[in-house]
Amino acid sequence: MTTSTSDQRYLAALIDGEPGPGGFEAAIDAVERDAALRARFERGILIGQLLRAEPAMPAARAVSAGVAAALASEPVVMRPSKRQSSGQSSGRSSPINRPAVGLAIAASLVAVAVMVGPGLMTGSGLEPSLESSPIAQSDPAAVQASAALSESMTRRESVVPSEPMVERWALDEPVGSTALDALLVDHRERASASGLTGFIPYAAVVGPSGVR
Amino acid sequence: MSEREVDQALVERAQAGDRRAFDLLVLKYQQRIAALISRYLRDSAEVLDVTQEAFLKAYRALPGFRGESAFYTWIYRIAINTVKNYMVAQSRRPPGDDVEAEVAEQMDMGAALRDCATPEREALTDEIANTVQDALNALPDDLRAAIMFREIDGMSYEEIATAMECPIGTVRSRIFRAREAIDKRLRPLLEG
Repeated sequence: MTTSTSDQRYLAALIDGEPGPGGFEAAIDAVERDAALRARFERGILIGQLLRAEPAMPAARAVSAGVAAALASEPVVMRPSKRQSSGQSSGRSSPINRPAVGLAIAASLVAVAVMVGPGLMTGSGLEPSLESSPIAQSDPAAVQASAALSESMTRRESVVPSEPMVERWALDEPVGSTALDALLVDHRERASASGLTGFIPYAAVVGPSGVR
Repeated sequence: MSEREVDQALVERAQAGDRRAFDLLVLKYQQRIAALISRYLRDSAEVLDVTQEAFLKAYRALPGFRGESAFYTWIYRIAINTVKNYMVAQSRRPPGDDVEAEVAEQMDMGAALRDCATPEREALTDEIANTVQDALNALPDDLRAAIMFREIDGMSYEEIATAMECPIGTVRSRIFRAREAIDKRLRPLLEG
């Protein structure tokens, strides 16, 4: 058994956290390389536990050998570098820019709502009513703004061919009502249960046609 | 360097692919984790198997360990989960009186553990403890004081040097020689 000064430093570093002038990394390197030093490290830890009257289980000394043998057949774990974990590496990152896709989907939904919304409201009693709005009744500016909005929507309806949508979604007609019911059933049975997210996969299985 | 910093340095090396650094962590904590698991299981072979499994799980999960808690706290939780899962798989009901990891680090669980120990295990543990105590009593005063300052009182080398009015190098040497003297008596028991 050697009692060299370097061994003292290495064990002091690893057992007591007192690396001294040799440095901590050198101590780890030395103890990793030297099996005898590693055994003294292990017993040094155990001696400390016993002096502090902490529980010890001598047979547990076999665990390290078992772990080493089991890990010998496994790949070495490596923590991904920060660059990789932030998704910037060229190998693993998706070519699709996710925020841009999200924005595009949101813009599409707004466009659909603008085109379909007025059609849905036609004849359903959901049209904006200036007379029934308490805000409109009390605020002349709001009345003007609402009138401008209504005029804008009417103009848009005249530009966009809205007839098929009106036919499909008019709630006072049985066909439209059935289609909407089918859409809701589709939504409840498929989209929510399957955990679909995003507009495109949702639209792939849920459509307004009522055909499943 | 605190114990936590030492462990973190070993963890970072292991995360960088240095498996022997993880071996050192296993060497350091295998006794404590096995003792913890023996609270739940009486059979020594099962205790060793589950202890090994806990370390294997820890190794596989190591890339995700970010050092937000101490390594021992982390491995403690893994060990508790591993032994509970093992007991459920064996159709045994795990006890529900867990000690929080942070608390467990501070408290002496020896009494509770000894309650669960088998007579053979307890006898060997007592023999080892008595041997260590005898070896400690047989040490020269300066070596005994140095090792007790360090292991019992948790003083740093600098604090011990101040208390003993000697250089830090002398403290290092005294602690090293004290451990060697105790180890000399302990080894036949461990390896016999």
